[in-house]
Amino acid sequence: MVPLTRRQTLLAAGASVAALAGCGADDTSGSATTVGSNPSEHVATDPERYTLRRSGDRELVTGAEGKRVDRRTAVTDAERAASLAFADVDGADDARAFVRETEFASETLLVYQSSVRTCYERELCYVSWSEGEVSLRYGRTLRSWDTHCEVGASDAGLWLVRIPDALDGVSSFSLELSSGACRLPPHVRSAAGEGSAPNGTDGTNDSEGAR
Amino acid sequence: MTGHTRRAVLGLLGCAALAGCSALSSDPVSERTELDGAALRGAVTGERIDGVGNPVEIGADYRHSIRGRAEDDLESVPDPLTAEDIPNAEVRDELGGFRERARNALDAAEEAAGAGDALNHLRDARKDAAAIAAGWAFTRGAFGPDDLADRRAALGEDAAAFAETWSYEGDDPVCATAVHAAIESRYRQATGEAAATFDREARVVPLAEAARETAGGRTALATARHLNERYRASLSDPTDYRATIEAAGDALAARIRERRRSLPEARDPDELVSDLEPRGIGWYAIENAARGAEERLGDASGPATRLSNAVGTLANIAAFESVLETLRSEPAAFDVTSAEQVAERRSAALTAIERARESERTALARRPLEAALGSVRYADRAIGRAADAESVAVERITLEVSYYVQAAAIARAAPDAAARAAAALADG
Repeated sequence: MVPLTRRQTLLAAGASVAALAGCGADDTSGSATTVGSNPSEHVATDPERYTLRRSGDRELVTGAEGKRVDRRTAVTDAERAASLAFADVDGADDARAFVRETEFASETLLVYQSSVRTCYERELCYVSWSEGEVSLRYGRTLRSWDTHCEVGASDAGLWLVRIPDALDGVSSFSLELSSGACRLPPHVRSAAGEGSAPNGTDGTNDSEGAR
Repeated sequence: MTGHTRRAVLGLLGCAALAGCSALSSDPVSERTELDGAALRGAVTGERIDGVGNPVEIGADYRHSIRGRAEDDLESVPDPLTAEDIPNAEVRDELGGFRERARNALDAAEEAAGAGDALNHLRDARKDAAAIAAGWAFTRGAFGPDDLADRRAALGEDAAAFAETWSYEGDDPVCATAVHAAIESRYRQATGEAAATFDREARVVPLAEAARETAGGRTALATARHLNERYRASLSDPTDYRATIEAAGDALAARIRERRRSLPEARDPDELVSDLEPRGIGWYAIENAARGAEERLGDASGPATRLSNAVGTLANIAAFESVLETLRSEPAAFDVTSAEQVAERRSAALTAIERARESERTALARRPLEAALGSVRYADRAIGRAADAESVAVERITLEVSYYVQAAAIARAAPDAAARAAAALADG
């Protein structure tokens, strides 16, 4: 499984910025344009990202010597990235590669770990950031009707998101989870262009690692 | 209050235009008056509210056809859905929810007091039944986004065909206004659903929900056609009143502008009335009434709707003046300290609605009466929920009781506003 980087849209909040489309897995990151009245805030609707998921509630990633990592962690240097240890599940190798290939000179890696109800999945709507602050916005949608799952059961989920900006540090890492498909806020929607699908405009969704 | 049934009018509209708020009042106060929960429940459920129906009688055959379509859709889906049918349990529950709501609506239609209420329940049943049928067909590979797009396109074409045959005919302009306003709103709904977009990547539940709305548009168009056919069949000397209705709408719009010039400029309750208890019943009543007086005629579905809305706005203006006059005379006039007084406020609203309904120009007063009853029904539900507690602080329900006050004021003003519209139609 490879990270989905079909289209990378980098937006400066409050400004109308053309989408940067057609980026592949080896895209050069860190090309966010800063325009507008609020140049400190940036938004990406389709950043490079990778998702792992498995049944149960065991953690999918730990830190050095097996220490727990915060459920929301921003990784800003290669040393810290190298300390991340992934559970032995399908897709873990690709997750390691995703982490390893992050260019910390120009990028920051966001790690978000959480339980997710088995019948649902989370679709990344956008990530926004400014110096010292990052925020992820997910939409929660039902998985395909033919996915076997029970009401009330949960999986462990891990979301890795790469933002094209080398942040010195992150003091605030917030998360918003909305019910249903992504609804982009007006400034993101207008900058992305009316008529675009909310996310994965090429029809892709977040990749799901093997269960 | 006794538990007897009395004839009143059921609002077809919600109370958003009057209230614009969905939360119970919850402002902290230092002195609390507690009402007995059981008595309060009795106060808001003591009288049954019957429906106003449609300006044209809905035929039993038509209602039966909608029921039949809903039942056909329900029968197309296994009951119950099993894990083999739909492995995703949440999807299974969602689809099952459509069926449950459809059946509840079919039952409600059986028990409805009037044909108008029954039709509303049947429409809901038809929509939810269409949703589960579409969802199930999607899982069998028999329905998809292209099919839904085709349905919407066909709906749009049928609506256009209907519009070709529809004119503002009537025997008299008052009834013509009422009937064609009812047709306009349904036609507008049908064309709106036909033009609505949906996510072609959507999975089963969102697609089922989209199919549900399309079925609503289809039912709306069918009802528009039915109303039009029945009304035309009843006419002995059909005349096209479109120009007359448009002219009357213009006249009432001018009247509204004139009336507004005489209203106080202030909109803040504390500026309008001295000594009001902050966020008390009177405070909310005047705030809501002031907002209603400013209600814009907006983008009406057509000239008959525009005229009907103008009647509502004229009634709102008069209601604002009436509430203002009462509160300036006695700021605590609407306050309550017991469940019995809550019942009195509610009863006053229903009585005013009942009298307005019996007035000469009821057909033109539908818009304000529906709004007034929407407020009563909303307040009933909200207070009923609050009354689940053993005791309820008055401050918890001041906003809701204010809806009774405003509903009464609007209903009292409705006959004059309707008469104004009738006069404008006569002049046209």
